Amino acid sequence: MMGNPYNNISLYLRAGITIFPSQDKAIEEVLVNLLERCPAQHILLLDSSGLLINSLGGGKDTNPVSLASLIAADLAASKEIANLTRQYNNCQLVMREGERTNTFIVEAGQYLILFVQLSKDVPLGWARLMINETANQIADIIKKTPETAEQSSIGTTDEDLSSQIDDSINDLWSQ
Amino acid sequence: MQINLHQRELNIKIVYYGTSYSGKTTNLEQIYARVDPNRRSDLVSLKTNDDRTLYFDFLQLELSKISGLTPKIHLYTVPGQSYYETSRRLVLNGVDGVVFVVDSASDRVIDNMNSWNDLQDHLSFYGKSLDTVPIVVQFNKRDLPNALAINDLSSTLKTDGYAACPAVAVNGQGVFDTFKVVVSDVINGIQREAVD
Repeated sequence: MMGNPYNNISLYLRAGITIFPSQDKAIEEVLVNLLERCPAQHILLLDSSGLLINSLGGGKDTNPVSLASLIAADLAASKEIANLTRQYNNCQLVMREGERTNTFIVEAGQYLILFVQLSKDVPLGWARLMINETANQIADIIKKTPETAEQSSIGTTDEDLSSQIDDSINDLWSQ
Repeated sequence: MQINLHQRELNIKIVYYGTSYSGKTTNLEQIYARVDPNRRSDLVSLKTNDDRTLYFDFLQLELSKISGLTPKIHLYTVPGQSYYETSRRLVLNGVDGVVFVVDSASDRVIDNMNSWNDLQDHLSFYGKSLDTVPIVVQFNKRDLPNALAINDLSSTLKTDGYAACPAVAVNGQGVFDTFKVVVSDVINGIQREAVD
């Protein structure tokens, strides 16, 4: 759970993550930079509960949403293994070597996870340096309060909301 | 839960919890089968060789816009067997709503009770409780000849006061109602939080 630096923002969540437009833009820039400089083939940013935030690169057949759920589970299991074997560090990094590509999964602050897939041609030391640097930048972006109140609200009455939810779910089921 | 105000997305995580063979995966399979493929992801299942859930099942659904936000509902199940306790805890990380799936058979009462207590313990690990997370109790397998009455099950499990849905998940009965109630409870909770 994050602390609440956004008291004036009505849609801030006490039990979750709110990403403001300026943060989303800043994160996108950092990820594009990593994609180009590393260079990486596929980058995903997600939160620790497996909810996808951003996906860059990747093949047409890759479903980033499903992949995000598996990455979060992978890191959670790795952290638990590290705990049980007394190897735990605050910032976990999981590296997997493949035939043509390597993948890195690293924590980006307390709440986010960064997944990077890159060619085996990219030196591991360079990749680790770039990925850790990016993870730190993302953690900093999320920590900072947006300068202006990028305020938003669901902005509807309880009665309206209930009927909107009903319509939305009924629509999903009837299709 | 995650809100991206730039992309106007509301991401919600709902976990189907319950004892082994209670029908958690069946719920997701029924939803997967009945929803337009354009509105859902693939069903991801991490299973053992004998087709039991090893870690979780996962399915994402995209609802139509509500007040300008697109809700994306992420559905997870947990493995029911007692020895997967750690996996169940990990899947509950970041949960916004729980469907507790009860096996209505008379010989599964103790298993249901253990699972309910287990849920309570794991929620407390994340600083949450049965009172702070929206919970819907689905009384599944109502078609069994030895199914106990819902009132009896509810008082034995001490689930009185929680939203309850009878179901026969294997033929889709009650699956949608359960899903609808838990999603409504979660989104209404967000609205209340925003107003507060």
